[in-house]
Amino acid sequence: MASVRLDHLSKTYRGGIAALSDLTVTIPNGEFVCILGPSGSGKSTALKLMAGIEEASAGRIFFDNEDVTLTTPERRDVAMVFQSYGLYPQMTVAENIAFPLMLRKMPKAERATQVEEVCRLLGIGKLLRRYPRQLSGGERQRVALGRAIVRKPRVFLLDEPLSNLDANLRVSMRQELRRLHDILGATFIYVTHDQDDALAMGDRVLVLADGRLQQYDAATRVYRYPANRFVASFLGRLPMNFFQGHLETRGDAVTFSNDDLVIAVPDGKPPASGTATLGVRPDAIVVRAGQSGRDAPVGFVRWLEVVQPDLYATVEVGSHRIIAKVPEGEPVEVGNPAYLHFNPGKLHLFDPTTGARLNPAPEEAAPVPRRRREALA
Amino acid sequence: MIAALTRRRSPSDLSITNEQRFYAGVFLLPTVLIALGLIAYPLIYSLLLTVRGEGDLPGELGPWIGLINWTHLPGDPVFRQSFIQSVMYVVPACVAGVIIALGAAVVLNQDFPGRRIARACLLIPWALPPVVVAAMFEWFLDARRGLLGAWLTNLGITTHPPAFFGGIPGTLFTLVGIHVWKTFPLLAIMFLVALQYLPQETLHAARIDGANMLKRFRYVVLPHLRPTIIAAVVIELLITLQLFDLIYALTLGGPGAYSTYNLYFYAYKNTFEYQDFGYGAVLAYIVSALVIIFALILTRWRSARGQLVAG
Ligand SMILES: Nc1ncnc2c1ncn2[C@@H]1O[C@H](COP(=O)(O)OP(=O)(O)OP(=O)(O)O)[C@@H](O)[C@H]1O
Ligand SMILES: [Mg+2]
Repeated sequence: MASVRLDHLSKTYRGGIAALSDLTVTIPNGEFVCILGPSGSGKSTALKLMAGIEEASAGRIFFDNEDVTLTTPERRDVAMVFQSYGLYPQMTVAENIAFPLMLRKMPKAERATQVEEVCRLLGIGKLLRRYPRQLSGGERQRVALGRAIVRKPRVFLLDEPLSNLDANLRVSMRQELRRLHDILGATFIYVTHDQDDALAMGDRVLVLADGRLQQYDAATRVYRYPANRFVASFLGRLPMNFFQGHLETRGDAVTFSNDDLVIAVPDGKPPASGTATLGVRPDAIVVRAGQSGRDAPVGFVRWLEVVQPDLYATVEVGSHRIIAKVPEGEPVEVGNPAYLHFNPGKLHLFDPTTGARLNPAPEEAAPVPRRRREALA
Repeated sequence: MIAALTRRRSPSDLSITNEQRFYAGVFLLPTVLIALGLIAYPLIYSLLLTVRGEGDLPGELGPWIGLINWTHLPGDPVFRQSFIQSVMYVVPACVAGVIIALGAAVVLNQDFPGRRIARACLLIPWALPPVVVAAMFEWFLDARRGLLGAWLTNLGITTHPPAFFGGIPGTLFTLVGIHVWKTFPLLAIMFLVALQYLPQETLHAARIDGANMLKRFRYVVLPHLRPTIIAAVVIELLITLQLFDLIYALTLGGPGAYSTYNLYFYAYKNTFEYQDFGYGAVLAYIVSALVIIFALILTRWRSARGQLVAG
């Protein structure tokens, strides 16, 4: 088991494709970290660099304090689970799982006990004699996991191992993976483009876009306090509402305004004035039917959609189309007027040019791995 | 493949109306006629040749003579020798051909400057006409002025340039060597294609599992190539059973009376030199039977193993 430290790590593929640029992060020992990002953002590249399958173009990789940048994958002592599993088709399940042990010249009897133990842990004890082609996706995935954990490596690297599974299996495998991590207490680095995966399993989430680090923070915080506009728009089932406007400070109160909206921003000390982008998630805006009494933004409902279990309305306010949540029982109907109430605690201000967050995210204690949290409770 | 597809379909998918059947017959008729003319007619004619004596002209059917041509076969020492020598051609050609082709493919699959040119050059031996190959090697391996003999002597490996075309059974193996040189590119291309489809993730997984280059070859590359290796063996076997041009151009079956004969060459001798069309046809049937039997055995074996192995 080891912590992983990436120090200004970059990868440029042949042909000048910069897949990863200047990534510096520390992944603490025993944590479950998810690397999240859209397709082509360099997630797999980052993982391959840690595994040693690809060579870094610049920067260094440390496991604990050991510099492994130039160590070959054979000697790095990591385990990796691939998206399409990478099982050996000519070997049975038992042989597949035993393979890394065989390469380490472990005696046969000891090998068998270890394989059995791992299979019991993963619930695949009945499949030992089968070949990979005789297994379902979920079973193959477990075999790949088994081959990884049987070695007790320093670091686990997982590249979208759940992406071939159906939604139900996915949810249960998420729990199993997390449980496995908690039992082993090992460092897990899990690559995914699925935010649900990342938020469900990760202690921390590392968000990548275009090979650049966007945010590295506790899973709860990347959603609640996105560090920039990209993270804000990438996370969330429904797209975040963005508004261009100005900030004004009168006394202690900060107000965001444009032609259609005037919104008080309580929890922030943004620059006193200037242009800004306001971001608000649909679930932080409440739609009420009718005309507002006070100064709430008013518009017409253009569209209603169900995102289980909630109902969301698209409300046209001036030139803006705003997606907002309809409280249960509220008689909101398409074509009718409605007004909006913005949850003042959930407003995000971004720099309109750089996209960086303007209002500070509240400080919290460093995230405690869930495993330890449970142990404490 | 086709069999597998049709087997999986339900019968109703395959049912066609009578009208469709009629048109299908009409459209197929020319093909069937041509196929009958080109395959069935010679097949039947050659079968008749084996049981009819000499006609007025070579190759014409004569009076009925029974199975003399067939019963002659087991007692014919030249047939027996040709048969054994056919095996002596085929086995080393398959072993050496596949190993050399595999090695060449693995090397050419690496990333090195000029590999495109190297890949193009690979095809040269296969593309050269057999006569040119024969002339080339006759000169290269000549006992007195040959380059290879001179090299071997200069390097001190032999005291005299060896007589590549003098010994028994050495000459036969010289021919095998030339044949392998000429045919391995075809197999190498097959391996190169298969190597393009190496499962990269499995290869990476093996590396991370701790497999060095040899182990990766043994546990990932070789299992992946297994069907291709079997196909390559089949192809080399078939080509070698039908080896003729090199024997004709370089040794004419010698040295000695029959030391480089194979069945194919013996069939040629009987048919065209001794003008014994009946016995020549019998020998041709034996070669064809061997080809078909080996092809069937190997393809069966391949599909049985393939099912076990394919992921
Ligand atoms: N071997 C390669 N040669 C050249 N470019 C590559 C190579 N592998 C990846 N790239 C490029 O690097 C970038 C990052 O690729 P990477 O595979 O890391 O993306 P990813 O985040 O894993 O995407 P996905 O979610 O689709 O798997 C992409 O633009 C890709 O085209
Ligand atoms: Mg990827």
